[in-house]
Amino acid sequence: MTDYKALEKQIQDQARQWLESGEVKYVIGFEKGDNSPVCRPVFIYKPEDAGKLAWGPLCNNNLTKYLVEEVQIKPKKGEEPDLRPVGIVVKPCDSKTIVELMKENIVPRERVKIIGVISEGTINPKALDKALKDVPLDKIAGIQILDGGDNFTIKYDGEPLSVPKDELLNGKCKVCVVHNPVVYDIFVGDKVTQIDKDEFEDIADLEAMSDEERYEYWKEQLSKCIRCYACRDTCPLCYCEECVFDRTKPYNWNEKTVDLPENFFYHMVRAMHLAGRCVDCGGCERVCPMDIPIRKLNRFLLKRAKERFKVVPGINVEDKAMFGDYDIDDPGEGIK
Amino acid sequence: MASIINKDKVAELVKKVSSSGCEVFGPVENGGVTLFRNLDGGIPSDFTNSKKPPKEVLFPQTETMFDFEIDGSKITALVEPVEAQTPILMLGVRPCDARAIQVLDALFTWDYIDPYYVNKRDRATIIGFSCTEPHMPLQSCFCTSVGGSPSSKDGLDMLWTDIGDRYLVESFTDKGNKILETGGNLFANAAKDDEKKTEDVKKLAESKIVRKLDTEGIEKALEATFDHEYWDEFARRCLGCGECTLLCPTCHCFDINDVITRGKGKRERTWDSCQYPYYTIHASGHNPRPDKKHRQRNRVYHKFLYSNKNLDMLGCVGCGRCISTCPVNIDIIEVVEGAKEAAK
Ligand code: SF4
Ligand code: SF4
Ligand code: SF4
Ligand code: SF4
Repeated sequence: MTDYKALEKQIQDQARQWLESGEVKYVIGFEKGDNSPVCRPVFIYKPEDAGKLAWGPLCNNNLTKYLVEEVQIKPKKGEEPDLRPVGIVVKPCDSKTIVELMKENIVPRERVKIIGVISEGTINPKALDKALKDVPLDKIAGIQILDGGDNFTIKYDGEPLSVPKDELLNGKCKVCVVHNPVVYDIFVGDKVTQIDKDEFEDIADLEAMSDEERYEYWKEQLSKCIRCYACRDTCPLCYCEECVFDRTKPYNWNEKTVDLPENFFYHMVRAMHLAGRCVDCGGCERVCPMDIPIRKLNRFLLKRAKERFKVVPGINVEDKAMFGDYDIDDPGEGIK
Repeated sequence: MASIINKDKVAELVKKVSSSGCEVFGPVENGGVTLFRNLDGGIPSDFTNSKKPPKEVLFPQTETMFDFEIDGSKITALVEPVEAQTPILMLGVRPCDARAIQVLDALFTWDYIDPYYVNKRDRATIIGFSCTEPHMPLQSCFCTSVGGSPSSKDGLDMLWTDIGDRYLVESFTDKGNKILETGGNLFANAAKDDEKKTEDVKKLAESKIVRKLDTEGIEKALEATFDHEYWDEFARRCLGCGECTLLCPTCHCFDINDVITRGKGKRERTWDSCQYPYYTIHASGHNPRPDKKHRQRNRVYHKFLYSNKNLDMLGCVGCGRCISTCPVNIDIIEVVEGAKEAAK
C-alpha cells in the first residue's frame, strides 16, 4: 500500500532543495488540477513553489516529453545556452523512456536530475469518471484517493467509495512488471517487490485471431481515428523534429485524408518507428480521444522484440538499440 | 401546443422518416465512443454527448470538393454544381451543439457562401434532446455561462425532453412541423402533467451545471493581454495535439489538398487545427505563430474575441469537450479567467 502523501512530501522537499541550490534550472512535476481531480504537468522555477508538487494515482502524464523539448530548444543567436540539468518527477514506466532517450543519445545523462517514484498503478481518468457517477458534480474536483490494498478509497464529504483497483487501473498498469524506477538520482518510496511475469496475456485474444478477424478488429478501431496525432505528440520517443506525417515536401507520404487506408498507414508506420523502442508507458492510448487500443500494437512489438531479438527496451542504458544492432543469427522471418 | 412520443415509438418514426427518402443521423455507439452515424432504429435516451460533435454531418472531417483528370500537362477539373439532394434529419443533437451549428451557419455564409456546407445545412432538420444529466466526463459542461442551457432551443427545429417513458416534443419551425406530420399518430398531444414534468426536468438539469464562466469583461481583458507572459505560462504544458480544436463543435478550419493517383485526382478539404505548427507555416519557412503560446492564445482569442467581432456571437458554446478531452488539463474556463486576472 502506497502512502501518496508521504511520497508527495519527499518529492517537494527534494525539488525545493535542488531549486535552492541552483543545481537544476527548474523542476517538471505534477500539480493537482484546480477544477478536476486529475493531476497535470507543472513547471516549478522557484523553491517557494515546490509545495505545489502533487503525487497520487492520477499523476498520469509521462513528463519526459518536456525533457525532450528542453534538450531540443535551439539557443537564440548570441545567447549562451543554460545547460544546467532540469529536475523531473517520473514513475517507473516514465523512467524507462529516459533510458531509451539516453540510449538514443537524445537526452544526455547530465542534463537531467531524476526524482524516481515507485508506483503500484495509476488510475485511468475515464474509468474514474464512471466510478464517480453517483458523486455530486460539485464534489468531483475535490475528491481524495487513498490506496486501500486491493481497492482505492475515494474520499469526499459524503460516504467514501471503495472501488476495486481492477476497475480503475490503467491497462498498462495491470500488466506492468516494473514498479521501481530504473534510473534516478533520488529514489522515492519503499522498493516494491516485482516479479517478471509478463506473459502478454492481454494480447492473447488478438494473437489467436485469423488474419481476417484481426483485420476486422483493427478496421473497427482505426476507422474511428481522427488523426489528431495526439498519440504521437504525447510520446517522448516520437521526437523527430519533422515528423514524416507532417511533411509535405517533396510530397506527402500520408495524405491528409482521414479514412481507413490512410489511418492504417499512419498506425503501421508509427508502430514500425517504435519497434524495440516503445516501453509501454501507455501515454498514447490514454490521450487518444477515440479510445483506440493503441497499446495492443505496442504490446505486439514488445513481444516480438523480446522473442526474436531478446530486446527489452527501457531497462539498461548499455543495451544496444534493436535497430542499431546486427547479429548474423537474427531471425529473418520477414525476409523471404 | 406540445406533443409527446413514447420511447418505444422512436424507432418506428426513424423508419418512417427514412422511408420518405430522408437520411437520418443520430448518436451511435461505435467501438466504445458515441458518434453521429446513420440510424436505422431508435436511439438510447441517456447517451452521453458524442465524442466528435454532430457538425461532422454537415461539415465532414474529409470532404471531396471536386474531381479532376490529368492528361500529360493538361488538367481538367470536373466541377459539378453542388445541388440539393435528399433531406437530412439529425436526431439527438445536444443543445450546445445546436448552438454551435448557428456559429457555423454564420461563418459559412459570412464573407463567402460555402456551397458544400450550405447545401447540406439547407436540407437538414435538427431535433435536439434536452440534457437531463449535463455530464461530460468530469463535470465540464458550462453552456449556461455562454448563453445556452441544457434545454436551449437555439438552432433547433424541435426539442425533445426525456420525461420517463416518453419524450415531450416541442416544434419551433416548419421543418419541425413536417416531422410531426410524417410521424402522424406516433405523436400524441401532451397532457398538462407531461408539460409540468418537462419544466421540472429542465430546471433540475440546469441546476446540475457546476462549472461557471463570468463572460463580463473578457474582450477587454484579451485585448489588453496580447503580449502578456501569461500565455507562455500555461501553454508550456500544451502538447499541441489539437484535440481541443478538432473536437470543438464550433471550430471550422480546414486544409485543402489534392490527392492524385494515376491520372485522376480529387481536391479535398480536411479539418485542420490552429494548434499545429504547420497550420500557419509560410512557404518561406517563416512561422508567424512559432510557439505553443501563440497557438493557444489564438484558440482563446478566436472563440472569445474575434468571433464576437466578426460574427457577433461567442465562438464557444460551453460544451466542455475541450476541457474533458485535453490530456494535460488545459481548461478553457481557467484560461479565460486567468487572462482576466492577468489584465488587472
Ligand atoms: S490519438 Fe487516437 S485519434 Fe488521435 S491520431 Fe492517435 S489513434 Fe488517432
Ligand atoms: S508509443 Fe505510447 S506507450 Fe510507447 S513510449 Fe510512446 S507513448 Fe509510451
Ligand atoms: S471551446 Fe471548448 S467548451 Fe467551447 S464550444 Fe469549443 S470544445 Fe466546447
Ligand atoms: S487538447 Fe490540450 S494539449 Fe492538446 S492542443 Fe489542446 S490544449 Fe494543447
